Amino acid sequence: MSSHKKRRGQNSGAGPETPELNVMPFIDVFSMLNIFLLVSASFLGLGILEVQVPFLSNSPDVKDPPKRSYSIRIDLEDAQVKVTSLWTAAPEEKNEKTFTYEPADIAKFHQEMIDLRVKVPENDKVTVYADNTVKYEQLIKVIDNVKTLKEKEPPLTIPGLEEKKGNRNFIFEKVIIGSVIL
Amino acid sequence: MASAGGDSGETLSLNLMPMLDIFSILVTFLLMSYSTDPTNHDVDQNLELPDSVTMVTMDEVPAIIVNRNEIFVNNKKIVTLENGKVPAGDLAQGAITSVYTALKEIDDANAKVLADFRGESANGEKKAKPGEITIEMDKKHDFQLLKRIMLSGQQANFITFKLLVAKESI
Repeated sequence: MSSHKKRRGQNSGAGPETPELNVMPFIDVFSMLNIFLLVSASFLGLGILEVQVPFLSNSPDVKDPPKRSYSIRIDLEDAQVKVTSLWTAAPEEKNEKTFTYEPADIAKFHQEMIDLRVKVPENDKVTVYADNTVKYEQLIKVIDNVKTLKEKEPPLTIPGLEEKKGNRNFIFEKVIIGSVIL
Repeated sequence: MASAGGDSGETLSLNLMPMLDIFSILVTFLLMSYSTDPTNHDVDQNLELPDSVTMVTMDEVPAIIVNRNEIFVNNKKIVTLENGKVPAGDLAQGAITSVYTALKEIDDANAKVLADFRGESANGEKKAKPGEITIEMDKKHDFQLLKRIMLSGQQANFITFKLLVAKESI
C-alpha cells in the first residue's frame, strides 16, 4: 500500500498514470475451468427408444365377443419394409405398402405412419417383425420413424393425446417387437 | 506483463485481452452445454450407437452392453461373441443361457427389494411386475442377436426394453 502511495506521489507531477490490471490470475482460473469442463463434458447426447416384447399374462381370458379392431404390422427385411394395416371383422379392410431403406423412401414411410395414426386415432400400437439378418441400425431407423415426430414437424392433432404430457412428439407410442416369442 | 529485454532496454507488452475474450466465450459455452444429469454414462469404446431423433433422454445406466465382441450384464462379461454370433453351446430355445441367468439374478434381487419394502416374504404369492431394462448395442449387429437377448430378458421377467441411441440433434 505504502509503495503504491509512494509511486502515486512520485508520478503526480508527470501526469496521470494508466492503471494496469493484472489479468494473469483470470487466465489461470479460466484455463483450469476450461480444462475441467472439456474433460468432463459429454458431447454425445444419449436417448432411448422404448419397445416391448409379447408377454404371457396369468390374467383370466376376457369373455367379451371380439370387437372390430385395427392393427398395424411392419415387416422388416434386408432390403425393404412392408406395412400392413388391417381392420379385423367385417367390413374387413387390408392395405399393404412397401418401402426401401433409401432416405426418400423412409421419409414416405414416416409420412405413412403419420397418416395411419391420424386415420385411426384409437390405435397407438404397432407390431414390428424383423428378419434375423436385418441390421440393428435398420431396426432403429424404422422404430424411430414409427415412434417419433421430427423436430420441425407440428404435433399431431389427435383427440385425447394433448392431455397426456410428454406425448406430443410421439406418433405411435407403443412398439411391440413381435418376433421375440418362443 | 510479458516482456522481452533487448539491447535498447525496450519493454514489449503482450495484449492478453483477446485471449481472455476467447476463454470467456469458451467457458460460457461449456457451462451452457454442461449436463448436470446424474445419469452420466460413457459409451463403450468398442461400439457405435445408432442415430435417432428421439426426444426421450436416458434415465438409467444400461444393464446390458453388447459391443462388437462381447456381451456384458451389469459390467460383468457374460458372453464372448464369435463373428457377432453367440456360441451354440450357450443357446437354449433361442435364448442365451448365461444372459438369462444373469438377468434372472437381477430380477430376483429386484423382487426381494420390493418384497422387503412392502414387508412381505420373498416367496410371496404375488408375482413381481415385469421389469424394464436398458440395452446398449453396436449398430452393426444383426437383429438375431437382439432377439436372443430380448428372449433371455423375456424369460427373466423383463418385457420392456429401452434401446440406447445417439441423439442426432445434438
